[in-house]
Amino acid sequence: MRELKKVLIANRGEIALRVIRTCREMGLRTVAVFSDADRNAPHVRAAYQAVRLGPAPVGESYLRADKILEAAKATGADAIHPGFGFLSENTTFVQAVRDAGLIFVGPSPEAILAMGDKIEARRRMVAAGVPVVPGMEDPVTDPELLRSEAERIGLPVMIKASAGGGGKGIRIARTMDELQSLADRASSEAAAAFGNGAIYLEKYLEEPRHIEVQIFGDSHGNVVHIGERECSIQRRHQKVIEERPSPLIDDELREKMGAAAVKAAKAINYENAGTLEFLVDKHRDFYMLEMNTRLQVEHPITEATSGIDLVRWQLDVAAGKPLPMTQDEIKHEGHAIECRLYAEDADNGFLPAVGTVKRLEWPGGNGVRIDSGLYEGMAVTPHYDPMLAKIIVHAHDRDAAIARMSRALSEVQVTGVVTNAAFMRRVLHSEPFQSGRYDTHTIEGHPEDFAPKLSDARRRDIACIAAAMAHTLRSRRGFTARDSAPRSSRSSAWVDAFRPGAAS
Amino acid sequence: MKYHVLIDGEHHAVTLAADGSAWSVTMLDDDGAPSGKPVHIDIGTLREAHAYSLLVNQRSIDVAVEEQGSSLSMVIGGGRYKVDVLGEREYLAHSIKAEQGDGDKTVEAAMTGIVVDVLVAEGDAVTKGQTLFILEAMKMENEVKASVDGVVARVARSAGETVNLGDVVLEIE
Repeated sequence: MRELKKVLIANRGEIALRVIRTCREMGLRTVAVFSDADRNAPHVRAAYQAVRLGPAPVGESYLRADKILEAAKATGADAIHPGFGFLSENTTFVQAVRDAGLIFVGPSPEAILAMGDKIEARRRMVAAGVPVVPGMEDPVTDPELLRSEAERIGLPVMIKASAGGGGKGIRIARTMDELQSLADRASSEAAAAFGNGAIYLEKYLEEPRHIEVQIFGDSHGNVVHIGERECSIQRRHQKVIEERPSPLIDDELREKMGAAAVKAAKAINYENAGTLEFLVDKHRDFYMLEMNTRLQVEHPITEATSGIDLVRWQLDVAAGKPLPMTQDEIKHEGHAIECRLYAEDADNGFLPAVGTVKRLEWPGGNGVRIDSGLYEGMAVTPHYDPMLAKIIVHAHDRDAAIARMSRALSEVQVTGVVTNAAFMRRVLHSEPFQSGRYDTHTIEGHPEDFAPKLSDARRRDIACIAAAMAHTLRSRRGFTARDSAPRSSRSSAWVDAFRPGAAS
Repeated sequence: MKYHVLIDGEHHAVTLAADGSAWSVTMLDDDGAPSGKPVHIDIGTLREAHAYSLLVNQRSIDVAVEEQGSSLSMVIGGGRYKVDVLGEREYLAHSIKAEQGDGDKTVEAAMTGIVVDVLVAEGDAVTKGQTLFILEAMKMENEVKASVDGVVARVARSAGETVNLGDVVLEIE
């Protein structure tokens, strides 16, 4: 067992702040790292110490393992928490942290390696008896093989990046004609994002739901599961709204999936927080997709219903302590929903948006949690992930949680950058979400169900408000703008006195 | 004051009259006659040019607003509304332009990013839905597709170039 005193958080935004908050509650000192773009960010201000890494691009800042290790050394940190993304699943970095005599708050490099390469992970899971989606076990480069494998698995097939994650590099081929060009696109995107263009094919399931299971392992061989998270509300293959429990899952299926997740984690001697992602099809058969060897973005909904602080568990387990609870002691209460606030235009193909945050107001009240890295004056740029913040609600049942989230979203005020808040509210009120019968295709398969709709009465109200607002804005600007002011009012005694030709 | 408000392509004419420190707004019908009761709007300033607290017939509504030329983007109760508010003369000019149509169709970058590949050349015939170019932003490659049938009149940007939001990448006739 090792004692932790000071933790460096190798990340930015809401997750860095979230980790810092738990550290502070545990009496641990914290070190933030930042790029030039993030000098005034909340995670820098919340930390005990903060160290500059470099310019805004991630390649010169948050991905600079050498600078992060230097910062840890300079500040005397004894552990590094990677958050998610960036270097969190980079085995070279994890090994370097360990070689420097520091604690990496996460799994071993061996476990990350075993699960990081999707093809290798698949082989391992098949061997451990965990159900996986029908597909290939080797990456494919030969066009002939690509075709024959697609025929063997059966169209439609998913083309996925071996080193992928976060939806990058994924394409769906529905015809043999488009297979090759989509494979090329997926490969080039994967090469750009991960430095590895290897791709493979997988069966594309019908009405699939994306349901994942939170697991936790310690260094004493204990592994528990902390329930599922329903993550099927997606666009561009990225999650937008998550909830737990899943409306699809009953106790029996929950136990089966939990047991499979624990089996998978044990097969690779997994330590710390991890997530097994499953696809569950319309026949309620489940297949393991992949394992995320880190904390997940959507971990707060598990925290909300279980009362567990997953980051506290991460830090304790990393220090060598055993898990504080057994499987039987873990209980869930009520219903939790998370909405991911993205800088994107949901009414225009979900394209990422940029801008400077002019005004920011968050919801509050009972059962509402905001994990945010936003601040007024912040420039939202293409340098970083477009996810700005997470809104998490907890209530006694699903209907109450939906009502609470709808209320919370209506209180969000962000201007200067377009967000998806209004879109998420429409999703909450849609039939598929209300009934709980939705899958990963619901959003993009029926975009018209989630398009903004304006009743005649509402549109008339908006027209009146718009006219009054526009008139107010324009007339106030007219009075205050210097250029529109009469010339004489701009002069002063001082100017008059020094005007050429003035009496002196 | 008379204004023309355009929302989702629908046109509403309204008149605005001062009512103490507040406004009385009346909708007009197609003949310019008042239609319905006036709406009383009191505007409290939370932050000048950005956020206001409105009482619309006593109903309390927060409005976060952004101005871009003649258009307003308003966030009201979790909904986002984009509207154009035009004066009489601006509306007349707008109507004339709309009748003439806008001829060439420019395809603009919908976000700041890097052009990865341009898949069409000048003179190519394209059909609606065909991929024109690939734009990389936020680490994703986005296929930008033609919204109309036509012929590529001009390719303004090439692979490898960084483009800003609103930059014209190509034009279709």
